Amino acid sequence: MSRMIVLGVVQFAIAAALVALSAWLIHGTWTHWSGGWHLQAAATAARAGNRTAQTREARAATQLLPDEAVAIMPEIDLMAPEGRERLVALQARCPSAQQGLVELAIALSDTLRGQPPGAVPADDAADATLLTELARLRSGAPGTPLSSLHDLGAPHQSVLAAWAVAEWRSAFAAQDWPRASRAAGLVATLLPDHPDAPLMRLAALVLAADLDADRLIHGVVAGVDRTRVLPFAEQLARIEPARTRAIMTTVLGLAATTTTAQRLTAEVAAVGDQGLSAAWVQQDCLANGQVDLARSLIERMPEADRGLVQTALRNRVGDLAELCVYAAAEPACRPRISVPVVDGALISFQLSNDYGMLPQSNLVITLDGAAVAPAAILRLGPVIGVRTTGHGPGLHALGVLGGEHPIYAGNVGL
Amino acid sequence: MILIKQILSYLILLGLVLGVVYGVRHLLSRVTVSSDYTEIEVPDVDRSPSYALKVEPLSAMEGGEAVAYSIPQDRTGQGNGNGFAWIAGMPGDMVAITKGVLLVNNVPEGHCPAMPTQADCPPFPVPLGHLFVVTTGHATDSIARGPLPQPLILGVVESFP
Repeated sequence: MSRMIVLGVVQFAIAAALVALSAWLIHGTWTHWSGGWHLQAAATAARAGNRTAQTREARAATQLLPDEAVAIMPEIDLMAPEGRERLVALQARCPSAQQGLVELAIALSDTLRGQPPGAVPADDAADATLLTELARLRSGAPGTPLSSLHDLGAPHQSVLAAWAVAEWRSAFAAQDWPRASRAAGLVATLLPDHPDAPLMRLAALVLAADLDADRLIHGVVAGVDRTRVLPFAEQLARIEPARTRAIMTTVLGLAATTTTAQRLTAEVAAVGDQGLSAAWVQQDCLANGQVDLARSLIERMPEADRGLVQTALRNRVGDLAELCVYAAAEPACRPRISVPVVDGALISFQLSNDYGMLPQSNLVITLDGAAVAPAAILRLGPVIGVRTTGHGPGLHALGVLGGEHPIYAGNVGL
Repeated sequence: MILIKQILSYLILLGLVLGVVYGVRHLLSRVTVSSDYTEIEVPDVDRSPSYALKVEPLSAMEGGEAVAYSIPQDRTGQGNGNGFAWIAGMPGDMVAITKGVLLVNNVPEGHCPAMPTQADCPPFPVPLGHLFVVTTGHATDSIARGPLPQPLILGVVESFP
């Protein structure tokens, strides 16, 4: 009987130990699984550029796995000095297998904060090269092609992405557009879920040496908030004005067959809340001869800019009478002519102003006080020719007027 | 007699436990996808909702193999579920996109259809712990979602049925 009791007690003890062991294993497994799940969510948030969600998920992972470097690091802000201090503290207590990872994170933090990159694990040749390049870019030096990494092995994603973003910023600041195009393509490929990735795709295509309008128009910015895309597209159009049509047709979601007038109307509608600046759209309208559309934008412009725009409009319209009146307020608008040159029976001169205005209307020319018939006035841009048929040799009084306002009065000898 | 009975009951229990472990492992080594999944096309193969997987470390995988992976949610919340893709680039391989063609170590990748609307990308190394994977439709592969991190890889597809 006693033997049976002992056997029962031993079996109970073994069963109890097994239950405790199972509970411990289940708890550990659950903790690691949950921590891993939060880590994966943090990584996804980081790829999508959602810093708030990244921090929230990383903190949850940190609570579950307090000694795991991979769980704690996503929560740390590498740009902040406190972040570096936390990494140093983490390095002291994390498992030896993760020491190299923390060491690399410290080096990346140093580089991002403008410090010289510190020690990098010996077997991370690609990371060391990228960090050196990153430090050079942040100091304002030009970048080098990434093909130099060939045969150096695989770098860490975070280091590669940090280098790519720095390369894009450096190339853009240096106005090296082919290099900026390549860097934008790299950023878009490495971080395609980031909210700015469509803008990078747009920049890669627009700034490329050869513009392929078909590639551009096939939805590179589909589904992206217009208020983010349009200001960036405007900036790209300022850089590459010859590609304005392709850029704006794409970002405004217009058909490839859209006419210039339709595109400009869409641009005018996108001024203000949607992100295009009135000043730039007005310039685009004027460059395409849509004066009325340009004029419609004046009311939507800041008060300080309206004078300049009205000046630009007046010069574009080229009404000489209006410009003569307006010259009282803006002397640079005053029309003036070059010294008249006589060649046989033709008097010629250039008529313009400081803004390079082309005269369009209200041009009156008199010879000896009589108005010259319009048919006798030849115009080629700012160059004016006056046929003097019917006037004999000798000095003649030449008058040039903007409507009733005198621009020039003098004598010419035929 | 009692001892024999107890040993037998322990053996039965052990058998049950091993059976459960084997069953769970078998379930985990298979991956299912929705029937309308069209991201990868395998010619002359009957589509099946379930494929056998071989779980192995990244270092044992090779370019050209098919992997199953968990599709991470993107910023719009799209992408839950499993998917298949071909391995185009292993860690350290130089990947580039030139005029819509995916180049791996300067050689056009065989499984990746042309991408006429894709922006060019200069050569870059596939990061550590990542795979560059491609599919037929490019909706959930590395072209659309970036290099695939190791935790999302479920395993190598041993064979398509």
